[in-house]
Amino acid sequence: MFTMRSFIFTLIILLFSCLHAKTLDEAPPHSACPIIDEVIVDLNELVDELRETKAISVFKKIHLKKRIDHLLANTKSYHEGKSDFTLEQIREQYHLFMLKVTAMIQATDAKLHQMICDAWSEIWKDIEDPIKFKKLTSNA
Amino acid sequence: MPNHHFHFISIIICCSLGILSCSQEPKDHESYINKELQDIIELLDVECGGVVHYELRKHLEYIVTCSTGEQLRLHVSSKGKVNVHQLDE
Repeated sequence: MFTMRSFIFTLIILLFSCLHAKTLDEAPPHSACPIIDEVIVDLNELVDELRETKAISVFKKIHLKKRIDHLLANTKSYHEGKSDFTLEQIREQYHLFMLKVTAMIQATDAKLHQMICDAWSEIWKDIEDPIKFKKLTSNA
Repeated sequence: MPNHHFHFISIIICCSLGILSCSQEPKDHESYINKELQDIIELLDVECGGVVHYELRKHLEYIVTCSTGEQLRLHVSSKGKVNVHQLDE
């Protein structure tokens, strides 16, 4: 009886650990995004901000545009069931894209850096949701 | 500025833009991540050569092995900055 009770207790602990691990994985990229007045609400606004910033050269902007197009094309194929990539892989590609943008601007455009920090997780929610994604790309 | 100089500069700019827009995107996921990690490391002015191997340690934290043999840790700080350090630091 005691063994059975211990087994169930261990099982419950394991289940909670798994749930906690999932929560950590989906946590925002950084725990201390500064509070800002202006926010980026979606990917289209991020594209506008990247277009406007003087912290990124023209060549790098063209490169980033290609990366965004690539990400959107992969996501579109995924939502249509035609992609070679899994959602997990597309998510990793998205995070790497955001890491790259952050690396480009963190030393030179503090305001945009804060805005990206704040919008990081929200933009992904629009990309992974097929309905929100369709709306997002039709507004582009 | 003489006219032929202007034409020459225009041709150089157009060729550069053409080369940039025609460069191939990596086809598979691993190559894509590899290329992105390499770009980020270069952006942060860290010597690496090329990325020969990477491992996702946890969310937004990678351990990268460079062609120089060095191992780098790429992660996001609590203030939201992307950092790259040598692993033995």
